[in-house]
Amino acid sequence: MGYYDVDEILAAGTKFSCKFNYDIPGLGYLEGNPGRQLNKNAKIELPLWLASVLAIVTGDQEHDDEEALPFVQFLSPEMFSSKVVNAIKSDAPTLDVHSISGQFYTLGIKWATLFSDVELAGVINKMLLERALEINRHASSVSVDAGVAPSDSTGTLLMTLDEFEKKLYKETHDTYRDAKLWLSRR
Amino acid sequence: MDINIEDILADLDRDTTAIDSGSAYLSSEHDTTRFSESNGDHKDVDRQVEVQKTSSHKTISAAADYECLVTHWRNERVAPELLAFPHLLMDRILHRLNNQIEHLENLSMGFLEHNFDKESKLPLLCMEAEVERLKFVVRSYVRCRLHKIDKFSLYLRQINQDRSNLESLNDLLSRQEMIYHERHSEILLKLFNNSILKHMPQELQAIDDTEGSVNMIDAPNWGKFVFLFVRGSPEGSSDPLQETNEDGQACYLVTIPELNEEVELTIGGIYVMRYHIIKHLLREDKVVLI
Repeated sequence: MGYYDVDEILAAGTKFSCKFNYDIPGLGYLEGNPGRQLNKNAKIELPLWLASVLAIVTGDQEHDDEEALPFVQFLSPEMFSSKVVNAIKSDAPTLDVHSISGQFYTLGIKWATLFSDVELAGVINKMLLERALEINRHASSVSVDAGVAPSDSTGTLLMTLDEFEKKLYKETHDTYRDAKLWLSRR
Repeated sequence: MDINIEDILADLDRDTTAIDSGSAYLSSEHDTTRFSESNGDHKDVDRQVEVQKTSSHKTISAAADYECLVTHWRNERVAPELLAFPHLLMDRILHRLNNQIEHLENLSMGFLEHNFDKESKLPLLCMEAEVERLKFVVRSYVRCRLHKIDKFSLYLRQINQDRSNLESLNDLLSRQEMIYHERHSEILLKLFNNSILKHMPQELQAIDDTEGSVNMIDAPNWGKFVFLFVRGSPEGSSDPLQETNEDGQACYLVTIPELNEEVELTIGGIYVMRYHIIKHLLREDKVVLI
């Protein structure tokens, strides 16, 4: 979670749909028509780095009796909807995470921290454990010859991994391969 | 009635072993002296090293220093943070390395003068290989530290500026590393400044901004999981941290704050543990990372 982490920057660029709680003049370019004002309750896709700040910073109080609302409100995104959560719960290892989001874990962590979502954190935790076993299984079945392509089932698995899992797979695979090479050829 | 006489036996044992090792050491010394008389002076060093190894295993010795260096090296490779630099140890090792290289050169001069048949080249080869091995470890150790200095340069600077901090940068880094750290961050800052930062608005020009939405200072990942081997205290006794568990084995008690859970680390066991939990044990050499 560093400042210069490229994956982190890419993850923070993912767009989330948000709802504005205020009329704001001049910000029309977020909606695609600059020069106009941004209307209250407008639904806009904002990148996470912008939205996560705007969702915390509060605007002026309109009425004294109610709490100040933040500038924007997150609408619950597709990737953490109950549909996806149910799919994870039913069978995590065969889930095509990459089609949901390339940065699923990073975003999941950010989302869970932002909203203190314990349930989501638990689901993602379990999912990572189950999938890690599968990744290890595929990564450990390496051939010593460098030129041989991974088997079909591994290839299919690789298509469904998100960026973090790809890194995990690559590291595990390289470790297994290096150990095997060292043992066989010295 | 059983009388436990193990203490008395141990006392006797100590005496005999002292004599034993002494005589063995004496005999080996005689061996080598005889060799050195017939084969030239390069055996002398072997004997000297051996003398150092056998006679002073409690105090500082080349072998013990090497062991220590390897431990430091291994810890440094695995630990997420930059560990303190062993100034004295490195001084001794570099000094020895210099001496040995010089000595090797003197020996090879001897080969030019003498006949080749009479002299065995094996000790020379061994010494050369040994020097190479030691040099490799030192080099790898220093490189690993430099990598971490690159990574945490802003964090180290923060430590340096923070007067209230317990550790000063002088203990953490060697003199050369200090120079490297200063110059390297200077060069990097210059590059950033010239290429991008000068086009930024005034308040966004800081390279070590901690108030923005993302903290720009990368601190070490204290929660990193590490493999560790519990070595226990070197003496075996008089260790305030050490406790005894239900099975009668000596162990250390550590607490994981996030889970509020106590874990006992049995001596001789291997664990996977978050780094910040075992940091204090690592500092005191009770555990080693693997």
